[in-house]
Amino acid sequence: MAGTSDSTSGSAGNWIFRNKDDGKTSATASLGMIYLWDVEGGLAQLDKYYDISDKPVRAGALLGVGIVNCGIKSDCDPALALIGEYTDNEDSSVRIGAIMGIGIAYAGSQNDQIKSSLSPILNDEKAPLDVVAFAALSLGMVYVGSCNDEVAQSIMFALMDRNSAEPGEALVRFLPLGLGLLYLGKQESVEATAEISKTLCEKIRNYCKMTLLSCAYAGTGNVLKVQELLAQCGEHPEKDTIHQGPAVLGVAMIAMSEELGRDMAIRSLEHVLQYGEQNIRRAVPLALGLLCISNPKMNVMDTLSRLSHDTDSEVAMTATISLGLIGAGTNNARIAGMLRNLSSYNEQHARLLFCVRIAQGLLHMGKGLLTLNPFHSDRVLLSPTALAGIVTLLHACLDMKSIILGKYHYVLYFLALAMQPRMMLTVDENLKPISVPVRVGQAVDVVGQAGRPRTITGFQTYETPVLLAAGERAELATDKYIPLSPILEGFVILGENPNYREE
Amino acid sequence: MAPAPDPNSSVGGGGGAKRDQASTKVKAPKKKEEDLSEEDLELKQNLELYVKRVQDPNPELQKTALESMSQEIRASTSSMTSVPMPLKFLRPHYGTLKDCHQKMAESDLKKLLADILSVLALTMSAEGERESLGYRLAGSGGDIGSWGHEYVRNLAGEVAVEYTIRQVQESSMMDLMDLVRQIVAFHMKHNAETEAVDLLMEVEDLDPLLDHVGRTNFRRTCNYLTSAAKYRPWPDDMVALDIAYMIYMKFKAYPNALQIALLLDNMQYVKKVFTSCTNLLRKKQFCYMISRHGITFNLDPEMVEDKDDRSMLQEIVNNIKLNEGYLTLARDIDVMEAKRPEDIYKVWPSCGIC
Repeated sequence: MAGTSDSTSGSAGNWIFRNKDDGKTSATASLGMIYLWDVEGGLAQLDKYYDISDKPVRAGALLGVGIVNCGIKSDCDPALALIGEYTDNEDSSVRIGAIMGIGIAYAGSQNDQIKSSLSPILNDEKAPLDVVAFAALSLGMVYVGSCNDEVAQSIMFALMDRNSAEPGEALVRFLPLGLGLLYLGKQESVEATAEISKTLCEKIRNYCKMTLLSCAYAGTGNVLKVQELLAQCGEHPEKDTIHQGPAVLGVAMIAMSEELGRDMAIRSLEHVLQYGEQNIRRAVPLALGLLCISNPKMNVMDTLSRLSHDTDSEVAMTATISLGLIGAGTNNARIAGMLRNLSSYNEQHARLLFCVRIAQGLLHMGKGLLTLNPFHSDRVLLSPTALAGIVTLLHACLDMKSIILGKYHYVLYFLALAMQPRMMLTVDENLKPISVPVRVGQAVDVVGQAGRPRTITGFQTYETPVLLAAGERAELATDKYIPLSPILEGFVILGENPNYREE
Repeated sequence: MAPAPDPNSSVGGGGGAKRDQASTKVKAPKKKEEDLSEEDLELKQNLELYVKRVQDPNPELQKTALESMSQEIRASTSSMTSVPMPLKFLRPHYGTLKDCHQKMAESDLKKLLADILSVLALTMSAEGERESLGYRLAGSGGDIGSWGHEYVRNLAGEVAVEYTIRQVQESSMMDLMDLVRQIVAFHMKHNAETEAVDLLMEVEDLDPLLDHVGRTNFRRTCNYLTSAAKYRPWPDDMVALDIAYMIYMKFKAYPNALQIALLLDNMQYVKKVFTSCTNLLRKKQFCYMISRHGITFNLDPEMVEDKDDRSMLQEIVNNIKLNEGYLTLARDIDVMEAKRPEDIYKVWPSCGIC
């Protein structure tokens, strides 16, 4: 129900306070989700919660501000102005709310001001681990794909410092993730940092290596790296390890760029599922969820459904959430049915039920108008900020019990970075929406074919605005207008056709 | 078997014996000597005559013989659904002609013979010998297309193999690259853009493509380049995308060029698209494309001169319009009403959009 104003806003106060502690944070932040992209409306709603004495609620409000501004940039920087000062607050939950809010609002912007306010936190010995972890993550998001040396160094030092202290803590995985996000899709530029990461302590060293590798080659389809990662997954180490989880996610991240690679990866993941260790089995549903995000494919749906009834409860939890991911924003009836069954099956298990509810929320995201797919523009371009948001959530889900089902469930809000309307909206030369007939059908791959074959098949004619499902394409059904771009997605400006004759 | 017509009487002796043999067998191969039609037999005899003449020391005779032979071959190799008659008849003489070529002195005639041998090598040469290529490089280097499609395709395949071998040996590629250019020009003219791009990728030099793309085929070429880039390792994929970008810019297909620029994550290219395109409306469309990509992009005076225009375009890039558009969509599809959690938990399969 994101993006539309809720009828419960009148009695908003009450439902937020029905929760306890960190539950209130998520509840307040959800206001931000409801007013997604509506900066004025959202800020007005959240206004009353900034100075409230109740710390979790304040934290949620700051986070909500960040969410509202997600993807919207502006010269006056309202998010930074409102929440910037709270990053140094005494209360760590308020700090985290502010830091996360900034990370979401300014993802990809490479804002120096943020760097100077968040970097000191990384090197602050007195700062608690969770604050440092979120700071690293937010910095990674703000500088996503930039390979910024300064930020990389700060995060690396933080990793080395924290090394000896609390390597077992769940949130420590956000530090390598923040580092990895800096090199998202940048392939070889990560080499230098990867070398340095070999000096880290053993517990985190491999995790860091896998994360860096998977982030650097994300979306490239590099076969050699996929093989490397699969080799890692094939090992059976004696001790309990955590690094194979990111390796599995890495396979999905690298292979997801095009159809063939994606199908091959899905098959490989099935094999990995069979012979893999425990921590691998927990990561496979997440990887499947990433490969088919907002694209409910039958075979993947069936695999995930089977896994959601697995005896290992963590596998069941990740599989449930992945069901939500693959159907995100599609309102798919089959998945809805599966999730309803799961909810009655898991009535006694609060944790699993929680996952089912999250999945159901994802399924009906934006009433079926949104998508989480980071690929756009005819599946050619990969949005780095969107991918960053999704990958963060997946890494957090690798340790469900401590993060999502623990105190830090608001990590789910990172998905806001990936939410986009899956529409085609035609506007005229004055940027006012107009309605024209379009044909929407399955996209056909016409590369290398002779002549000028049709690019869509099995189409129906609708009036814009139309919704485009995964794998669909639209084409104009009228000669009255000429689109200014051959790629018909999102906002399309139409110019009048001077040669058009009314029949 | 039908009774053979008169012209076959000269080879009737042998044919007769064969006919006897044939009649005793249940199945008999169709193409027998006496089955040849009048023209075919004449052609065969002519060709045999030419071959004899080529071995003649008199250059005049050689010349006419060679020219007539090449005439026959050219006329027949434009389509290769089955092996053409002249090539078939010349098969037994391939060895003779090869020897002849070797013994000949350097001259235009030798080059002409080399051309012919190159075509014959299509069907005759052993696997992996690359004789066709060898003779082509020794030949006159004339219009490659006149020998037919199949010939060019075969040559392209041999060039690719030769390239890798020469790379290992680190020898000169000059003659090879000239030939590549000729082949590429031929393919591009005949709607075989994918084959041209394939060949250029094999020889790791996509630049000649820019000279040969035309308005009719640039989209297909770039489509192929973009798709091929997905399967190539770094840095080859960047090279392919670079060329695609330059082709799109050359033909002023700015939205596609912008897409490639964003794919390459090259802000210089993005800037160049803005500065090259003068239409303000188009620039607005570019801004929408960039805003969907989610990167932070600041327009400067070089890209958009007018201050008001620039602030309007910057607004679009900053995604300020997103909320409006989204709510318009929601209103149009009539989903503005919020759902209650209970509705989600108990939604029946028949309900739901999409």
